[in-house]
Amino acid sequence: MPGTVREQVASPLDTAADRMLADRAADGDLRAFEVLVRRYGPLMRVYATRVLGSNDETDDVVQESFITAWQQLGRLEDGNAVKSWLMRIVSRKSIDRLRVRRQHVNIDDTDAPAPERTAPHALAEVESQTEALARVLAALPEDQRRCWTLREIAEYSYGDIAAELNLPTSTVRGLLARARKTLLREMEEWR
Amino acid sequence: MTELTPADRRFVTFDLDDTDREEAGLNGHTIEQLSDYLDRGGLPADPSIDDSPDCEIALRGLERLRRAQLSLLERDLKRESLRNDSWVASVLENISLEAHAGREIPLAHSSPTARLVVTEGAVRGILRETGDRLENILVGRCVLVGDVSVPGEPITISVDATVFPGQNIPAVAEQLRQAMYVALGKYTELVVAAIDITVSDLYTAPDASAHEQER
Amino acid sequence: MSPVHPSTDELDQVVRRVAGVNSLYPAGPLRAKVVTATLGALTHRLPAASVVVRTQGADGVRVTAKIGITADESAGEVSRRVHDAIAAHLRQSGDPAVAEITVIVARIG
Repeated sequence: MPGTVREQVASPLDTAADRMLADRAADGDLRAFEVLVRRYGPLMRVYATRVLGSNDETDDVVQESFITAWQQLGRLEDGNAVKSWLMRIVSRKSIDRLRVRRQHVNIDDTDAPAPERTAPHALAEVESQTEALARVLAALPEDQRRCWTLREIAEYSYGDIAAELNLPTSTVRGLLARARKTLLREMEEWR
Repeated sequence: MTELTPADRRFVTFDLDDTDREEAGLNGHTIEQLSDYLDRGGLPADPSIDDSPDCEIALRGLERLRRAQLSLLERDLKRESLRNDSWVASVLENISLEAHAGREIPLAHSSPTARLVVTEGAVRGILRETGDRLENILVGRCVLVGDVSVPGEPITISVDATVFPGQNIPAVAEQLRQAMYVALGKYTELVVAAIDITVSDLYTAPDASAHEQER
Repeated sequence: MSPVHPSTDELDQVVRRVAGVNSLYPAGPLRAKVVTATLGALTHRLPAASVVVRTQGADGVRVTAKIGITADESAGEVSRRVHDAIAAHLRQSGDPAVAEITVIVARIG
């Protein structure tokens, strides 16, 4: 039956290679598709949450991404590339969301609020490097965060990021360099 | 903890806006170059980086950032993996078989007003199920080659399959072919001229694909 | 295409009762589904209940049923039974002119 989660019985499909799963899903196999959803859904959720800067819309974006993936799987030529293909879909959906959001919000307000800079040393005691990074990432200007996330989570090349965001590669390079330096500096603050 | 090693020294030599000052503090390099150098695993070795204490400090900073990045990703992935399954169910509820129904394959009936069909998607499904009931083989893509819409027109079936290691590939493939003929005969009225089975690659061990989830 | 005939619910039951049928999917083009939904809203019935589509054209009644079947029997056998059950039901309820009865087997097993 469509729409039901099968009982978790160990099946060779659970550990099948991406290409096998993508091929079967393209043929309409819901079970293979479910394995892909479980395999890459968490990464897509992390990605969407990171780009959108909050959890509120993650469910919608990831769900829409998988619905699109299901409909378009037949057009994916190399099933081995299903992971990056899925990341591209969730990336597009996330960026679309940001665009819609921006239409409702004053341009000046789109950047996340500046992080609390008042007492970094007091915080350093309780905050691990990981949490520090999460904070600093969330406070990056939106364009930098988007580039950084595409690079680090979706594993895009500079050229892919440029194409995706419709920016010159040199701009992407600059945004990433700036993000990297900001992150480095902030990490130093929290050491 | 008494000596001030480069690792402990504060790294303050870069500037967000001024590349000249950045290069001046990094022995002629930029953070971006050092990051690329780190990506390449420090190869080919560049003495102007390796021998510079300032670059070494910056590289340590970059490595620390990378570790933090990885552990943040791991933490987030773990959190997402531990979530309850409801979102998976909700994804599956919202997709439809329609998208992969494919062509309509006629089934005979004596009445002129009857139009009975089985979808290509349903036939591919039964071919997969047939493969899944056998051991040591996984069926991938199944293609119905030919004009399936014309009753009695001979068609061929093209099947990709993966055989588990240590199996006699021709024997397993033949077993699959026979099982598929039986299934097609039972569930459809297709005239099947041949079933071509391509064993594309060996079944990869669980580790390999589980590894894909990490990075 | 004229609106969906109100008795499609009965046809749903007729199709569901046929041996070998294990599921019934919404059939027909989107437009027909929208009409079904509207009808459901008007009469306070669940729109999802009407999944067999019945329309009245100039040349007669058209019925479309999309089904899933068990793996016990062939798609041909079960779909013929479904067709015959629909045809018999139409004969018993007014015996209208029949333009076409379509049965789509969308899933096996």
